[in-house]
Amino acid sequence: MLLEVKNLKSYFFLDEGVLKAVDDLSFSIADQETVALVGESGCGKTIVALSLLNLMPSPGRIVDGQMFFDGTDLRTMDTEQIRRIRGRHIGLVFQEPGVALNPVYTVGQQIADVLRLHRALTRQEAKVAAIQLLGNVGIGNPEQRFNAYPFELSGGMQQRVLIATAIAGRPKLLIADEPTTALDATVQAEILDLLRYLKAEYRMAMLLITHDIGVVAEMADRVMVMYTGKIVEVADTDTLLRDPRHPYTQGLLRSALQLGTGKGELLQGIPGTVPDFMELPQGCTFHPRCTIAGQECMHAFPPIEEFASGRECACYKVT
Amino acid sequence: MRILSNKILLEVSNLETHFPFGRRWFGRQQWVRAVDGISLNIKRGEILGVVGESGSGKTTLGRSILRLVEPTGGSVRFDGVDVMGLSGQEMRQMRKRMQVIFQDPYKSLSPRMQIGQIIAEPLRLHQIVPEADVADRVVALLGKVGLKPYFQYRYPHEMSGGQRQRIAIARTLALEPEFIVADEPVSALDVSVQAQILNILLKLQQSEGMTLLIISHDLAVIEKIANRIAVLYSGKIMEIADAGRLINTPLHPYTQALISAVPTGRPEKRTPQLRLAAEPAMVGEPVKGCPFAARCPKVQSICREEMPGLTRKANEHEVACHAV
Amino acid sequence: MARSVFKRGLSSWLAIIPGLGHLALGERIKGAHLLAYTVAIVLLVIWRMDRVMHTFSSRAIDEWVAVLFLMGSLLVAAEYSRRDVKRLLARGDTPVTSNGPWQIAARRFRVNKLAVGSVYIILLLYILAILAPLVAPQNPSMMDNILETRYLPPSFSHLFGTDEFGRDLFSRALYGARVSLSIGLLAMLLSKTIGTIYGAIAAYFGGIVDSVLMRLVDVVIAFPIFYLMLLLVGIFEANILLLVLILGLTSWPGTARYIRGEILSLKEQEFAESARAIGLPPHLIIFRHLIPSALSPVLVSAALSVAGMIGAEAGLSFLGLGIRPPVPSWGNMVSGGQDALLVAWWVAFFPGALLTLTLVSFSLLADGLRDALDPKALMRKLV
Repeated sequence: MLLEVKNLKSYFFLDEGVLKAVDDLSFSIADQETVALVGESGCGKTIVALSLLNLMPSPGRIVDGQMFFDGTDLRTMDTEQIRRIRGRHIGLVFQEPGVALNPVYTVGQQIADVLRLHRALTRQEAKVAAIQLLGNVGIGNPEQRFNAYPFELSGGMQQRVLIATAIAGRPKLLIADEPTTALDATVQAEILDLLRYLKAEYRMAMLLITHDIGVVAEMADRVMVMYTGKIVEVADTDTLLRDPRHPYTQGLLRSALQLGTGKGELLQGIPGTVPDFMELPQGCTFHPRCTIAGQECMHAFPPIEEFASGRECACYKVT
Repeated sequence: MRILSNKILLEVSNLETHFPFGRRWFGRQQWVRAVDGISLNIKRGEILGVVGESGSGKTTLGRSILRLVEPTGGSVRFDGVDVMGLSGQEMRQMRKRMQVIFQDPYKSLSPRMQIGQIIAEPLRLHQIVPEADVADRVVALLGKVGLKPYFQYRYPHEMSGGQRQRIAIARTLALEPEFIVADEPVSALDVSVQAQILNILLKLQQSEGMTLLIISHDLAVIEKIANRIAVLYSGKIMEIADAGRLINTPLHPYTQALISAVPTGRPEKRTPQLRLAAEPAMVGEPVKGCPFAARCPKVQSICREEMPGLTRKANEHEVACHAV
Repeated sequence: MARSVFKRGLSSWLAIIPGLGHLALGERIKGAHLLAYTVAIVLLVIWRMDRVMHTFSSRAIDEWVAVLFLMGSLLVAAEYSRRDVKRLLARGDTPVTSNGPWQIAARRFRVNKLAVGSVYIILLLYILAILAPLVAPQNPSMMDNILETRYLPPSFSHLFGTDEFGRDLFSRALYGARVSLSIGLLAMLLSKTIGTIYGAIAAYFGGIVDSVLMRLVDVVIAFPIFYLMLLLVGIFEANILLLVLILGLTSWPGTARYIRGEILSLKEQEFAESARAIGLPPHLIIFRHLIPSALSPVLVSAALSVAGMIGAEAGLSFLGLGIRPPVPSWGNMVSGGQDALLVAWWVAFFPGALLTLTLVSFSLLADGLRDALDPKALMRKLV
């Protein structure tokens, strides 16, 4: 196992109370595996990524749990050690490349800086390596583009640059947080192709965080569905798409608008709204919106159980 | 789903909205040709979907039709009235008939007003109902979008994205418009909520015969709700057809690329990649010929010389392409 | 059940006396405040009945202002109390907490004890200043038997002592408060009002209008204020109005620039477009939607600005360029007490202390406002 997370709890300590963004999460990622973490906005999936690299913003911190990366618990590392992990062993790609790139430096400079951070290179060597990397992520005319500023590039190209900085250290695990959400449809397809290509080329595992079922279908080997800070279902992609068990997963798949199904009468959604973290329902947090909820669902959140090989579900109604 | 009549409600002819950028004391003024010669008609009771990526001009198109942004050329006729020629006062009256729903529900509601006040504002402004009836009307409008009366005392920041979008719709409906432009109405919302909002819009068409122009970058959204679809690229219409036809038998290479780009789990089924190295034309330079030529897999030499016009290829199906 | 009905009936009767109704209903804070204020006013009137009576036959504006304020505030308190009790009775037992941005800010503000304390101090100072003619033990200009009454140290009959002319310093301080505090407040109001409207108009209409208006701002900023003040004070006699005008009309550009920046970005936001889309005329868009959203930092700046204005007036008067004796202002009182500092420290000390107290209070108020209005409090969408 490349990454093994056990009972991760990341909370935010606010004036109004404790916000349990990630509440007792456990999962694992094997070498070169692509795992998707799926959920809607506000389910805590971004916090999972930030927790792994100890990047949680201020009123939040990791409260409990272990995160074993290549055998060592990331939580036991001090700041220096974590810094060496970031970028070198675990790469992170953010959602909005325009915001994540520094507008004051050229893109070439930013990539070269990252390269020199992880390897002992002279400035000239770093430039050469950066240009090669730019080409590798599919940017045409890399020698010229080296001197471009982020704002001179389109969204798609900015994202390619961001990906380049993330893989510059040749990490074993790439975490991509909604990498295509801010991009156009045609560009999205290209970026996904790029990620697939790089994954094979660099032999990386990938944790893909997204809300888009289509992206999951295209990219992931396994899927974890998240709701209000907890994982509610895990399965490999084909199985999940064919035979979702958790009512929330079923609702999500139903709501996902698929092309080619024609103009529908009334579209399916999930009634109600995602609850506010500060006002989570008692028991299973999904029960107010659930079509098959029963009495037992109102007392305690159902524990996640493996009910078949490689399949887990957190629901009292699913055996 | 049936269109109520064949009467044309909105007639857009050669609409152009160009923005100047980069002021120079010498040298020629550069222009961003956001909307570059668009003509289309919308029938009463019809839902027209406009699809395009960033830079296609779809957002500007919506705003230009409503004169929230002033077009620089062409004309818009609403129910026979020349919208461009109206004075400020007349336009304010016209606004009762043509309304808009914005994309970002987190920014489209005034943060310091109660929901009830937000919905009542247009009611009071145009005196749609006498003051004594305003409160009841607000409750009725909330009901139309599926919200209970007590929501009128809440503030926008207390509500979720889906709820806010409903309130935006309720506010729009307060003026009893005949035509609504919905600019990316569900893009900022969670998937499970998108369906709820789209249902509300569909119901508006079915039960009240509302005419809608839906703008989106998401073909799947448009397909669910539109009767006809127009595909925009670089400020021009590339293809416009009945929704089913467009999705099943797209003729324009760009439309084909858009459809195949939607991730569905079968990457092998994608049509040949658009050329990666090619970038959309630098903003401001007038493009000779078809704007898509640089990236088109079926490009011919004529494409770089002459912009193809929209030609009818079949009933309710027009394409602007030399290769078709 | 019967008990609560009895309680309700009793409360509406008791509401005649401001505060009692609230106390009966369990609203302790509001009730205590209202009651305390009413009792204080009534005691004051009784104590100073002679002066109140005297006012009716005199033509001095000062006294009329004080008495009218007294009556007016009592009426306001009574009416507010009555209406509020009615509202509380009507709503029943379910508490409805309003969650608008201002209400949220008010709640956050109340938690800050220092800030709340500063509000009390400021209110107390202003009320005492308005009521000076009634509260002051003596006429501030009264000199009587100077040889015996000059430079008397603080005592029971002269709380702040007397100055070189035997005038009671406590009374002078109260009257001085009127000058200093009113100049501070009025100059700030003038400055912020002009600045806000000016900046909003420039930003909203843009283009030529914006260019012209902003160039004018540049001119005002470049103006040598100090020399202008010297000039004006030399030509005209320095009075409250003149100082308010000078201070107010030279400090509005900062606010104008800030508001212009905010409105420029706010007007592109979708809620502003929505206002245009329903056909709202420009002046309503600006005042109802745009300015309120840009206002928070201006409020903080306003509190600091009052402090600044008070300080500026004090400084000017200290230098002899502002309000001149015999009209008391804290500034010229300090200046007057300079020479006697070693002999009669109290002459300069008390006005100085009051100045310090006021400035610190406004500073704490500004801090409290800034913490309470922090927009980050509304944003919780980071997961």
